[in-house]
Amino acid sequence: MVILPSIAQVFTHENFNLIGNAFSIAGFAISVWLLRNVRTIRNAYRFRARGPLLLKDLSKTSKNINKFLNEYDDSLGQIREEITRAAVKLRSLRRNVTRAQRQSIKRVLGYIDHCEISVQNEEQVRIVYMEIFKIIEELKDYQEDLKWE
Amino acid sequence: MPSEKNKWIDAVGKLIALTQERKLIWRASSSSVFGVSYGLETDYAGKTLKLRTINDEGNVYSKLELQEPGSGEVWEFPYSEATEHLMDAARYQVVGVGEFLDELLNKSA
Repeated sequence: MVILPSIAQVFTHENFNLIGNAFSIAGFAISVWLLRNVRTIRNAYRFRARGPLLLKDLSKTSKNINKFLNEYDDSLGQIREEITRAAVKLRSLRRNVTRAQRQSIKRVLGYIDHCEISVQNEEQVRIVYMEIFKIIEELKDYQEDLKWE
Repeated sequence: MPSEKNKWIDAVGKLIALTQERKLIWRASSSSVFGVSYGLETDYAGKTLKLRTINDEGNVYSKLELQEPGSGEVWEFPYSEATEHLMDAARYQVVGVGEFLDELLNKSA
C-alpha cells in the first residue's frame, strides 16, 4: 500500500527553497536564450536593411580586384585600395550577421590583415581575393535564407 | 558555407589565375549557332572549356562548360559570381586590353 505524504510534509520550507532555486535557474536560462534570440532577430533585421547594399559594394570591390589582377605588377596601389575597401565593408557586415558568418568574416579579415601586397606576394593576394569571393557567396546564401524566415 | 560550393569557387578561381597569368589562352569559340560564332573557349588537361553569355529573358549571366572533345559531351559548372569574373578575365585577354593600353600609353603624342 502506497502511503501518500501529507500536504504539510510536501510544502516544507526546505522544499519551497529547492523549487524556488530551480525556477530561478530556469528563469535565468530562459532569459539568456531570449536575449540570444532577440540579438539574432535584431541582426537579421539590420542585415535586411544594410546587408544588400554592403554586399553589392563588396561584389563591386571584388570585381575591381579581379580587373586589377589582370595587370598585377602595375596595379599594386589600386589592389591595396580595393582590399582595404573590402575590409571596411566586411567590418560593417560583421555586426549584422549570425555567429557562423561572423566567424567566416573574421577568418577573411585575418587573411587581409596578414597579406602584404607586393610584387612577390601575388599568390597571397589571390588567396585573399578568393576568400573575399567565398564570403560574398556565403553572405548571399544567408540573404536568401532570410527571405524564408 | 558548404565546402562543396567552395570547391567549385576554388576551381574557377584557379582558372581565373591561370588566365590572368597568361597560362590559359582563350580564343573566340569555333562552335556556332546559325553560322554565328559565340563565346570563348580554351583547352586544358585534354578538355575544352567553354564560356558563354546567356540571356535568359533579360537575366544575363555567364555559363562555364567542360567539353570532352572526342564525344562532344558537355558538363556545366555550377554557377557562382566567379564565372562572371572568369568571363571578364578571358575577355580582357582575348580583346588584348593589356597590349592596347601599353601601346596607347607608350605612344608619344
